[in-house]
Amino acid sequence: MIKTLREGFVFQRDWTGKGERGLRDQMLMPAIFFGAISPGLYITALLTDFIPGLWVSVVLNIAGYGLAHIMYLGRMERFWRGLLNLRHSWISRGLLFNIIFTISSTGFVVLRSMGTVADSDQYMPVIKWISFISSLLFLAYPGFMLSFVKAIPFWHSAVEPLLFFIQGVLGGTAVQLLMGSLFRIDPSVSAGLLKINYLLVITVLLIILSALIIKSLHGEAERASVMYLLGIYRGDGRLFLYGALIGGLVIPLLLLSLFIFYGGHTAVVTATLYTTLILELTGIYFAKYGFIRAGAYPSDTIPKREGV
Amino acid sequence: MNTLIRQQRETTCQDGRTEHRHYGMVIDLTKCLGCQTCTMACKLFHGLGPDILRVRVVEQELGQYPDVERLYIPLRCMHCDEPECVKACPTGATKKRPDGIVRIDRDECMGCRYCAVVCPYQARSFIPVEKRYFPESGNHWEDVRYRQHQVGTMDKCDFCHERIDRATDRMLEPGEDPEATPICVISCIGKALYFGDLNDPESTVSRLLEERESFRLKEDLGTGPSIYYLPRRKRK
Repeated sequence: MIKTLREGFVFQRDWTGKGERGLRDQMLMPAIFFGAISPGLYITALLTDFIPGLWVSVVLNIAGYGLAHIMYLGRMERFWRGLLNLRHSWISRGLLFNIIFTISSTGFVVLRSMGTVADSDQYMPVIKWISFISSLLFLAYPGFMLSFVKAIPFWHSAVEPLLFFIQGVLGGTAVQLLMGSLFRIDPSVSAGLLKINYLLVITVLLIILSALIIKSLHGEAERASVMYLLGIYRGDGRLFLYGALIGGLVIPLLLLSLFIFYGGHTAVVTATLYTTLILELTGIYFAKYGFIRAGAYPSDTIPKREGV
Repeated sequence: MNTLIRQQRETTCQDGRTEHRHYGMVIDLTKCLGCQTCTMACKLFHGLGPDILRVRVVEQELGQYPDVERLYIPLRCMHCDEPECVKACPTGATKKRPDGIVRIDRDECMGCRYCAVVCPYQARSFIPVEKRYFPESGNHWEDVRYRQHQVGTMDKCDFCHERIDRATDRMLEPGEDPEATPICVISCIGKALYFGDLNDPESTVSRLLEERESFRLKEDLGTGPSIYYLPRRKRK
């Protein structure tokens, strides 16, 4: 086992959320996390017409994603240059989606909250649709960004965009349900969101498990990534195993099953539900952290066929 | 005479009517000693700070006991024909020149490190903070060189393009004349590194590739590296 792990692959060192710049290097993971939660919450809040959720989404996008992402850059003042390669670069496209999402969602939320502009106004549906479509694109782009990387076989698959998208919506439903403790949400909407949340937990769990199984059957680098995520190889890989897989998906799935099938409205049940939702959110964070840290290159060793 | 002919060909190339030069490198693994002189020469010449490497030599163990060999593989930017870093760079700071050299415009880089992640050869370094080996006792050369690097941007091998560009103006032939050749090549004590125009059938690199079997790293990814390796000759 050790021999297998020591040969044939190298873990990526550039996107680790650690480095000599301290806090600025650590901003990568929060940016990726809030980049999923914010558009996910926006979609669920928009579809259920939950204005506080829309506001929280806008704040998370600007403060959580935007500022964190800009802080992470080596040269913050040049962030606008990121728009200059839309033809090829997923980072450029992501930045464009984010700018459109930020402007349209902020505009929509402000106008909607002011109440001076009616829903029937001719511009409102346009702004609403632009913000909705841009939120979908913004939600999916980090997955495409990873799947573009041919050099890292663990990332280079169609799973990443799907997983990142569904995780974002899952996070959105979790945040909206959590906000239900502070703001009044129609009980039928809450019940519907809870069922969607339950189905999304099952979907994410199935996607992750199937991805881990399939990738473990491929090359050495992919196997190393899976081993890392299962905590076999490196210590912080356990964050994925316990934080994302068990704590963030399996336990919430069991608790939600009890809640949905047996119901109840006691204080204990409600507290358990909120705990479950918080576990889901931390699970999403650790899942993204794990997937990015687990990226491994096949080694720069000479091809075996050369037989030197 | 050869140089004159090549220069004439290059002049024609600049008009866009004939083929361009395509600079590349051939590395003879039989001759590489693993001494890291190329690594150090590059660091000294370019004034690279701690943890910043443009060239590195990795070791690979081959075979099984008792028939075991150790191989040294010099690695650097492969100056690919289809560079992933150029496609991934959101700012367009990473550029591929007509002569095949892939380089970074430091004034345009925003330091997102996507290029480093997509590079299959891990040939790029990020300059996170200003750091020197000897901050108190640096000489003039180091001061000048350190100032050329920008904190918060990426760094990688550019085949010492300044030497090539400057020397080409003086009718020197890259790969043949030391002044017009990357510093790692001229400092290699085992003469394992060769540099030149891969499009010129008379260049040393082309002749070596013609005469000997060669391979490139991770060819299956379709990046088309411009660095060729000559496998180690088997011991008789």
